[in-house]
Amino acid sequence: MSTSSSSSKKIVLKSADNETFEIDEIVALESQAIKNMIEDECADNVIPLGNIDSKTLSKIIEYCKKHAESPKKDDNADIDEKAVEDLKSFDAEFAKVDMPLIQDILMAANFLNIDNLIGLMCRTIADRIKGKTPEEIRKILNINKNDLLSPEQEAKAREENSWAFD
Amino acid sequence: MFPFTKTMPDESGDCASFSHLPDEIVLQIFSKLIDFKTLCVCKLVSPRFNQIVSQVDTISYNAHPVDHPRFNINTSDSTLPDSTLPKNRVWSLINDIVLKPIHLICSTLFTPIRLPAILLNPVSPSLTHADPVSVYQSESFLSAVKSLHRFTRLKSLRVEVPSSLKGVDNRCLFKWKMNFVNRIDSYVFLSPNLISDTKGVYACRNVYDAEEQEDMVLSRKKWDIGMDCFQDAVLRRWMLLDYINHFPLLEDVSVNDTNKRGRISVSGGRKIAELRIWLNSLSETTQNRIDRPRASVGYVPLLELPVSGYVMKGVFLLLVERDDLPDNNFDSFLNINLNDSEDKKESAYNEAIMEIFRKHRERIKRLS
Repeated sequence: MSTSSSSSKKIVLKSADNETFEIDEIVALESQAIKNMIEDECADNVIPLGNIDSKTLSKIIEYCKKHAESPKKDDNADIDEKAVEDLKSFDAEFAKVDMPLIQDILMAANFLNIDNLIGLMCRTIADRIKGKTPEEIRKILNINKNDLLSPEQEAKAREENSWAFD
Repeated sequence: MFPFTKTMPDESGDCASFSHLPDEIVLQIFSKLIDFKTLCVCKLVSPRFNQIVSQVDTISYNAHPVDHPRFNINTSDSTLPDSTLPKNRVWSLINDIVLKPIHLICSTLFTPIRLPAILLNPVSPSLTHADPVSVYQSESFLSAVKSLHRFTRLKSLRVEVPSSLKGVDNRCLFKWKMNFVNRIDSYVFLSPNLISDTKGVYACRNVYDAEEQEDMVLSRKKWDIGMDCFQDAVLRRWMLLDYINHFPLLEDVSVNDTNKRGRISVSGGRKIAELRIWLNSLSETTQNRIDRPRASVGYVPLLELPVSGYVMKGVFLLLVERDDLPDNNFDSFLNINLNDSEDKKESAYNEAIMEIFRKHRERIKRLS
């Protein structure tokens, strides 16, 4: 595992707003999409990510760095619990951002194919809408106000799930 | 040429990005929700939500009658969900398997033994006359089961229901366990007077000195609770079978008790498939046929549980078995995997059951 050696191979990511990020290859490999590109040798040294802005990209790199540094679960059975706890609390802190950024990270993570990060963001969104009313959920997720059920659909859904609205 | 730049819309930074999330991701969010109530609420958020929510494969439902106190025992059959268990069948089941034996066993158990006659009257009417179906007939519960049935892709289901027992002192310690492959094989109910961790007991060593006399009044009360819980267990098993029958993709299903008194579960696609085949092979009449149960009781003054680190005192045990099983066939109680327990307390009860069947079998008395 390489943490900060200058000799390790570098990859440069370029965000939509043309900011460049130089990272160790091992960090970039957290993304299955980039990993595939490198393996297929179709990646240049600079990988342009035309749909991810620099704010989102720097968060994603922060996540990948931490996870690349941590020992992987399947590496050995008796992984020390402290590292697991440490990663857990990192994830918890990482997810403490506003909903638009969470959604941007989720979009980008899906695009870059980073499974753990997709899972973390989905869990975060799920936790935030748990126990809320339809109106609250619409507001939290910033769902388009015109994207509503028709009155008939709404009446049907309310009737079918009446127990949930008592 | 680089594939990343052209496939995506150029909405970076746009707050309305939720509509850009692909359906698989939205489904993943719902799959992490698990909470049944929120899932139902999500159906009202937008047409897209309404459509995607129904595809989730994991649900956990906690029924709290406290939140929905409108019990309606006279609910007509037409309001029941499409289920393999019409109400009258559930009733006949309970009547046959539980109520009749209770009368028989009660009279044989307590008259010839040391009990004064006054104790033959029910200790607490509210206990012995608890209506086990009332909870499951609350409008809210039936409505919930109906909407649950619409999640046809369920693979994993966890339902938590409150006990139908009314007026049970919640400080009373007890747990139960039911063994079944297809038919119910056995049911065991365990209730200690006291449970404490090993340290606490070593601090007051004299508890080892005297063998405590069994308190017959208390044992009678525990018997009542144990029999009521048996009705709970029978009903919950039928709930479980109903789910297995209804959800073709189910791999994991459990019906839990709100106070963790007992849990009925089946896990593994193969086991569930076998149960489903058995269920479908039953004709209406054999489904109604009840196996005569036999009952045994036991009392152990002191149980040390080194593995889980607890000590139990004044342990009452009630065992109900199918009458056509061989005698002293306690294998299922001798090798309980303690790691399957949900928490330390459950592990202690499981260890206690094993201890009793290993070392105190002579204390378990069959009731004729």
